[in-house]
Amino acid sequence: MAQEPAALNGPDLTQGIPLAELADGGMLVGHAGGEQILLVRRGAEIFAIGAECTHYHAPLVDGLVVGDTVRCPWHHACFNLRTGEGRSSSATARSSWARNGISRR
Amino acid sequence: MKPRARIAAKVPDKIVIVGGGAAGFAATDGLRRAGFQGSIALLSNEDAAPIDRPNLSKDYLAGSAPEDWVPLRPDSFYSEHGIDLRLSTHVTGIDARSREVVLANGDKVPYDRLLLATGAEPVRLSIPGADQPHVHTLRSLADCRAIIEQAKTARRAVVLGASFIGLEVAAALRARGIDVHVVAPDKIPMERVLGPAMGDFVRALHEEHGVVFHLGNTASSIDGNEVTLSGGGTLAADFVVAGVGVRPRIELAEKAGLTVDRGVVVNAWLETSVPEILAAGDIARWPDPYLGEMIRVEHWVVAQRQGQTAALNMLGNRETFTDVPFFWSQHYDVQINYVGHAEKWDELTVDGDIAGKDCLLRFKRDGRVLAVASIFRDVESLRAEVAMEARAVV
Repeated sequence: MAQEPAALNGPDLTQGIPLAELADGGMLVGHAGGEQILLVRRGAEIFAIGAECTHYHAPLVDGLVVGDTVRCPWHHACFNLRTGEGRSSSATARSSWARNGISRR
Repeated sequence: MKPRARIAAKVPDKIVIVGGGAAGFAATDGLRRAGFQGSIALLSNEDAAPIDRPNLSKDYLAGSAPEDWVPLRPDSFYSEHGIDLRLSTHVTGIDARSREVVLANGDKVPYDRLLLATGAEPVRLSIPGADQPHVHTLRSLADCRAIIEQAKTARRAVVLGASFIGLEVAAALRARGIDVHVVAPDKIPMERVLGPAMGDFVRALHEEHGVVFHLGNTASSIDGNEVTLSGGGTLAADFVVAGVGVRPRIELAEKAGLTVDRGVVVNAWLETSVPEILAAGDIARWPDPYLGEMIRVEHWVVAQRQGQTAALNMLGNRETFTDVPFFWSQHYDVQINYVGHAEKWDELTVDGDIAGKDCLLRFKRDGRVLAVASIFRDVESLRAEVAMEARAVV
């Protein structure tokens, strides 16, 4: 569970990434503002959400994207990519970070 | 996932939740997150604020989780969110006509909507000696702390029952270096739920970690430091933990005249036979859309999800509960994930290698997958859940 933050993984998302690095349906972990962020691309939309499950901090990138949700690989918590709202697995907590409409250049 | 709930035009002012477990907490949290501004009384018969109960038989019992992992929220959460959390509070009755719950001290708490989330309680042994202080069950934080305290000076423990709780306790006590003997009537642990092959694997896994099984056997009595087996012989035990199942706490619902059938019967919105009273969690028997049957389960995740759905519906929404049951069980470095619900099956298929800890088992009836159990196949487990959500053939 809560660990002291280690070095941040992945690209600094505030600098932007080439769109080609995020395939349609794909997930990518980067960081912004000192937090690990999961990007998810669904067609023309790109979502950003806290990269860890609010329950036991599982890496959501190892889970499954279903519609506009991402499912946690460990205990099947379900987060709405648009709102960060969580369903179950003590994930009644809201993900700390949910954004959509990530700008594309 | 559903969009944020809208609050119906006619909102209740007073919501009372009986039970401070997974369902009760999730409902409380869900109400405030949906924007409910009326009063919430959360009445819990436990002496601790809502906790991460699965941890009590897993990491926390094993000594590998710190204290601050146990509360679901800090104590300050309840006052900050205007939640009237009352601990060690026993509800003795419900007056459905005057819409009040009655407490053991005679106080009455009025409600506009009531959620029953009273959970389950461990089945107590009825054998001679079972009422001694070194004979434990495990449900509450107080139960867990009592076992931990005893484990500090103990060398040998006997676990009665090869249930999920029984075997998780066995694994946790092995992590504390305690000799563990498991006594259970089953021939193969967990065979009824997981089938013979996975049951054999679970047994072998525990044996590799030093657990000694006494299967096809039961305890006939317990004295100071010995457990006598019905099959003959005795086992030394500094303490005993019984994990022989739980029973849903449905007495309040029964006394209130709600429809019960081996649980509190609810509709797809989790309403009982009295619509302003809802039920969620271990006590609720609900119509499962995938199976097309009324089912009741005792899973943490299901209780949370039902609590969330009940919260929205107490505010006048009409959310049907359609989530597929899920639980996980931890044994040493192995996590077993289980999706769906198969009380009985007529066919069991195995993909992969159970002994190699890389497998997915499908429990089928009449050719249809009712449940999937897996080890280290997380994405496949999620896919199985999604397929059942879509009511597709898995």
